[in-house]
Amino acid sequence: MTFEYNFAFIDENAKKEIRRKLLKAIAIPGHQVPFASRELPIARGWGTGGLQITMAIIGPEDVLKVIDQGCDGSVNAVNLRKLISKTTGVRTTFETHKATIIQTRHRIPEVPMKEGQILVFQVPLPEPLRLVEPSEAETRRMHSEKDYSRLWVTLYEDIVKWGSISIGASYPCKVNGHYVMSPSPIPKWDIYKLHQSECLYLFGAGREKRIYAVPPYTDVEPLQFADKPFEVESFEGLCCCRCGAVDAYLDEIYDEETGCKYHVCSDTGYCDSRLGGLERNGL
Amino acid sequence: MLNVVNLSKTFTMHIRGGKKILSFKNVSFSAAKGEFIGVTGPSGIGKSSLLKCIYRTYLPTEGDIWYTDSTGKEYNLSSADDHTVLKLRRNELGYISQFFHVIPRVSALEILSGALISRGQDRQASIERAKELLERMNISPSLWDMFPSTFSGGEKQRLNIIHAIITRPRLLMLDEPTASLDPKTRHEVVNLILELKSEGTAMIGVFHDYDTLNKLADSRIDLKEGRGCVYA
Amino acid sequence: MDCDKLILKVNNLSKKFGKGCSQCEKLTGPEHNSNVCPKCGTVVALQDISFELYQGEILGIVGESGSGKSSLVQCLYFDQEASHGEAYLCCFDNGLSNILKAPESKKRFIRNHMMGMVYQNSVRGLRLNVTSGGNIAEKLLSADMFHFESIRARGKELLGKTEIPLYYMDEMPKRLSGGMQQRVQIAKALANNPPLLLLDEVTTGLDVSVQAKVLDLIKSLQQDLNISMIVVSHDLGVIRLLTNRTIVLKNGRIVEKGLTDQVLEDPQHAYAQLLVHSML
Repeated sequence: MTFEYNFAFIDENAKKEIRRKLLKAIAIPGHQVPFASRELPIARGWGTGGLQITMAIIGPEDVLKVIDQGCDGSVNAVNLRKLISKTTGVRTTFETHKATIIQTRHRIPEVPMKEGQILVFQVPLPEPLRLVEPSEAETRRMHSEKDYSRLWVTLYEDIVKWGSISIGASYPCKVNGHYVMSPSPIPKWDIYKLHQSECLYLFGAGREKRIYAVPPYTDVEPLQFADKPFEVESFEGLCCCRCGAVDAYLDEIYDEETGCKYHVCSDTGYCDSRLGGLERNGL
Repeated sequence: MLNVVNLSKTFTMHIRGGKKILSFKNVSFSAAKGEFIGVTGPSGIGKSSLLKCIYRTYLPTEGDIWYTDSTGKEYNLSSADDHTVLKLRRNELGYISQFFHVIPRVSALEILSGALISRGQDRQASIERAKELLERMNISPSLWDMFPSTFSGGEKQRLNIIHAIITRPRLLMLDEPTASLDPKTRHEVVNLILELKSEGTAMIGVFHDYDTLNKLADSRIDLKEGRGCVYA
Repeated sequence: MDCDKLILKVNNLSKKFGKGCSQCEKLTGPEHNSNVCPKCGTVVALQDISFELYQGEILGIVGESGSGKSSLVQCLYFDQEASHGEAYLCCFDNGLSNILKAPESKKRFIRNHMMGMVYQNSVRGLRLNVTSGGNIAEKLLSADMFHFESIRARGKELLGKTEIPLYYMDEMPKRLSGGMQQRVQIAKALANNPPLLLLDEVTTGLDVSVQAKVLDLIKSLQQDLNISMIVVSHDLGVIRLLTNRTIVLKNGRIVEKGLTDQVLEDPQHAYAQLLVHSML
């Protein structure tokens, strides 16, 4: 017995609703737009926000790439890719420059994305102010009035306590001079890629039922004190043990047998393409 | 400078069933620049109340208190708004009470120099002036940095006098300022008052001590049961 | 020093809790000894409150509990929304706009830049889980001061002014004593040099020696900074020590207003007389 699913699984009315919300989100960069998050055959918290956006915007001509922490091969990425391609029949790819839509968890690809490409983020916690304010009504007021002093205080307290800001991932950013947004838990390394980018960034939080966006060529600046500039992770002196890259975000891998630590590109598509290139060059 | 017309004060005690207590009635007099008006009469007749009405610590029940300030502007102190009265108190009016309300935990020197500094005068000059007057009033330099709450009654009273005159008010109310002083200090106080008087300060004073009063007063108002009469 | 400068002008401020009816104003007030309307049950917390405050002046507000003292300052600080009335602040739109009707974002600007508030309970004025320095930083950050070392320097300056040892700067207020918390609150309230400071029963509940220190601090700050203040207190001793003018509230109405020495020595209204004669 086979089931007939609609193209991209969810029904057309639901997609329309999501697209309307996306348009609003793009019109107000960084502003969280509530949407009616649908039930999906995967659990909430497993990328359903990103998935719904992808399904709402994808067409038969699109080329899809799905990554999880930069990796095309992890379980979550594979499952999502299979679900989307099965219900749409679109082509998939591992190469960033070939994709028209990339759905991602926790990373922005190393290869700069171009005009016409869309990066869809899976967002666990869309509200950067939740840390300091439990009330939704209050955080909405704070956003509307640009009242971010309490968020700044957490940065101040961090510096007082630790000498520097200790936020690792999901570093709060000001978008287009107004809304402070959580960029989803991407590393600080990726923050600058959000600024004045050529591609469109869409953010979906399925469990929290929020959509937001950063349109192309929009200012995105990490919150920073004038005398304590924002700093990205440093991999000085390290390189990828597979492809030798020194300009990529590296994951640390610990070998239990040898007790050695080595580093590898977090973006597997980037790493593989470099290896392919290196191999082609006979190295 | 000061023209009091038909001034009356009656206290209405609401918490005693609205009982009315007459303090004084239909008092009229005037004081010119540098003039000293002595107020006399038996105790309880309303001498202090009269001074307090002019200073507006009491609200007069009837009558007018016309006061001309240093710029020639005339005010009726019995009906002027609070802000105006505060401004005049700060710049032109002085009041020496029988009792000294000590500002707690502020040294004698600070209280006195503060009175000048808060009027925008130079800090060092203010301190010098305060020291000069403390010396003249025979207050031992060892006390200058002490809190006046620890002073004797006479010392407090002398401080009180300095506090009122250090700003050189144009109109000064004196309510038995010399009552608790020894003859030597009293003499010094009288000299200070005369000095201020010669500089043009008009004064209204209550003194039980007729010797002192005679030395100071240019004219006298004798308050009698319910009304005041002016003697030349 | 310009003592003639009007800092705050309040006209006919009213605050009602409840839907209100046409009889509310007539059937409540000191003559009925109640602020609850017998017809509709509305609480008339404040009715027709008008006053002025000049530069460098300290205005006292006294009255029994429930008389509307705290409601008054809270309406001015936008903690509560006034039902009717106008308030003009000299530094906001040159005193031409009613701040009570300002948009929310403007109200927040006024709170952060033009007013400081010190509450009786420091839980309301401080974040007890944020360091003392962080509490002050919040005010500065809300005024768009984003230079870390400048924020630290200003924090140190304010804590120095309020006589808090600097090693408490990076300590959370929940670990400080009540008197110390009040002083941190004052430092926070002063952070952006507001022309108006509101003090709501700041010394209530402190023991006398600590109370004296806080009062001395307020007095010296007033002299040094020439800041205008509204001091709410049920303690006539505090009122006598700090204020130039005093308003006596009863059942949400002003029953007496005048120079502080006049209100304390020659009160006119029956309730004000009762209050003054109840002084220990």
